[in-house]
Amino acid sequence: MDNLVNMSPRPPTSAMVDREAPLLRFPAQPDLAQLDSMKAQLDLVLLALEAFLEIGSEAILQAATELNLAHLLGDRVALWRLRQSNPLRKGTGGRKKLDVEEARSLVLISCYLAKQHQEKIRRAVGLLEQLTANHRQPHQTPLLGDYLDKFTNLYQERMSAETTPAALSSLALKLLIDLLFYSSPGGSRRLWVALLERMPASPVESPP
Amino acid sequence: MQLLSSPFSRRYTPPTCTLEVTGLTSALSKWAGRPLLKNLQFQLSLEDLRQEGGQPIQLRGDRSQLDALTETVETYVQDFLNQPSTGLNPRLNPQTEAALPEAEPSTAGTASGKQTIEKAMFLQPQSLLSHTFVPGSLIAETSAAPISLSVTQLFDLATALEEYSAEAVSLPVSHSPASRLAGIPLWARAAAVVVAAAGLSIAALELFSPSSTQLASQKSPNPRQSSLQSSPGKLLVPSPPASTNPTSPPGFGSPTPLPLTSPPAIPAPAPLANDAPASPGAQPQNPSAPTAPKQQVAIQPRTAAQSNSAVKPPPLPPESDVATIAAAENSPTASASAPATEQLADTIPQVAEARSYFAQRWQPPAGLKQTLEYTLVLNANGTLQRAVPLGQAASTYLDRTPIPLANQPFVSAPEGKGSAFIRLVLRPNGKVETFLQPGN
Repeated sequence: MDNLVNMSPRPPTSAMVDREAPLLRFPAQPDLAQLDSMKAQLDLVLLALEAFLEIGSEAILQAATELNLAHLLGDRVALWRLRQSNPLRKGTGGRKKLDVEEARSLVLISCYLAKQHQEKIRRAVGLLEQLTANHRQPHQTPLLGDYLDKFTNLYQERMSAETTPAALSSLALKLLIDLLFYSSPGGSRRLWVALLERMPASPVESPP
Repeated sequence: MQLLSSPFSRRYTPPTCTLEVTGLTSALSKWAGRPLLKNLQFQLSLEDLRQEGGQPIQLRGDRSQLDALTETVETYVQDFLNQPSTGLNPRLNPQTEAALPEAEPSTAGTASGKQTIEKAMFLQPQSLLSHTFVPGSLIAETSAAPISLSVTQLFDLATALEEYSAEAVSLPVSHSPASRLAGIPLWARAAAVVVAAAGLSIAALELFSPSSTQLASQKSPNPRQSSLQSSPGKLLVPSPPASTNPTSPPGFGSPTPLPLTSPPAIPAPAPLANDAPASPGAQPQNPSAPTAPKQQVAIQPRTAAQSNSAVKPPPLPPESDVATIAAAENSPTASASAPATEQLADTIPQVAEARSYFAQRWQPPAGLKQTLEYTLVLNANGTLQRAVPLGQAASTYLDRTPIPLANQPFVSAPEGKGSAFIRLVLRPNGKVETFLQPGN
């Protein structure tokens, strides 16, 4: 368990004003549920980037090289093994562990890509706002429609959880909004804190 | 020794807002590597989503208010991002939206009973795409409460504050009362005492030394002491560079043993907005030390676990968080008056009319245990423009309240032009309260 991402979920009783507290208290043992959550969330952020930017693993590896992280993500197999640590993924032959350096690399790469394409992400979120204000569906525009289709296809192709298109659309749009905030200069810190603070992930649930 | 100061002025201009910060740059800035500001004032201009093409909303404030704003926005954004992407069902339509956790009432505010004004500043989710910002003590030059922010506006506001925090450090004001000292590390306060004592000792030596005759004839027997006492903030100045590492986020750049160390290739990592830049004195290394500024963050979304753990009272009970608003209008704060009776503070008749309207119609649904609060925005003709639920419970129960539909007859037409804002409080015991909200 050495060098694993070490974190604990927020204690239910902790005051939200104590936002830094979880970062200052590193328990000796990692929380496996939270580890799974972190792996899943990271993979989903990358999935959203892939779907929205219509990029593949080559672009992610290129970003790793530009960030001097090629020693951690040298090739497609290494990237695949990292992302295969997501417990929501199909198959069981994937890598089970994700160490801190690898997690951090994925955070940096995700935010680097988001920053590079901030204008497009912002345009999409602004479009989503307009459509919502006009009571129109996101699918009615090519930019958002293509993203939702691609995200849904990738998710269903790679993840084992059964879910509905509506729930997947909700997930995709939340991730798109998140990407906007990750595209800022402090985006890496925001994503990292979010990974630490989030509750354990579960497969996307269908709306009630 | 009088330190020279030079004017400082910056404008941060993301697409939908403008943050203008002015102040004086301390001569001690050279030790910090970036401007150390004093006498800081700021003006924030936000697009008003309620009026297309209308005047932007102008907010003004001082250093502590800018710190509070930065903290509030940054904390809110982080909590927004902390909501898990999975398992959400984020409907995007405001009014019916209930995807985000209910905001947490300002329990800390009522407990301490101080700095109520600053605590009244908060953000609250209406949907993934829509957020309500109540600017609290910030001075609004135009109709400003509550302010509806789109998510891109929220992003722009956070970006502007982030850019400011990354560029400048605001010094504590010199006339700070004891409450401000709560944010200053103990070691800094101890150092201030030591330096002041040293100044006194030196002055005493000088007074009693052979060469002190000319000093004794001066008006101020101890210029060093008076200088130090009048500007304790300056004593803190050397701290920012020294504390850069210890106060950076542990996840990125912390010297903690955990290998979450600084990312070597992160492009221009901006410091955490509430870290050293915005309030260098507010970063005690001891996590158990009191952190008064954080208490200014009044309301934040709860996590799922917190939402499940207990049913909390709704946000903004008029007795506490909106005390500022109530006081400003002399309206009854802890009102337990008969619902339909006229209240002295009904500065416009529509407040009483609304109270009467709901008192006749409000039937608490079975099982309702929470107080529901809404901001009612009136059209110029007295019909309802929209109702903004405050909190998840208010969203959930919206369709079970007697709130009329948009543009349906409601109350008489308010005098003057423009919208009127009425805070509606529906209690589970059947009582109804209405207040006039600022911004009329």
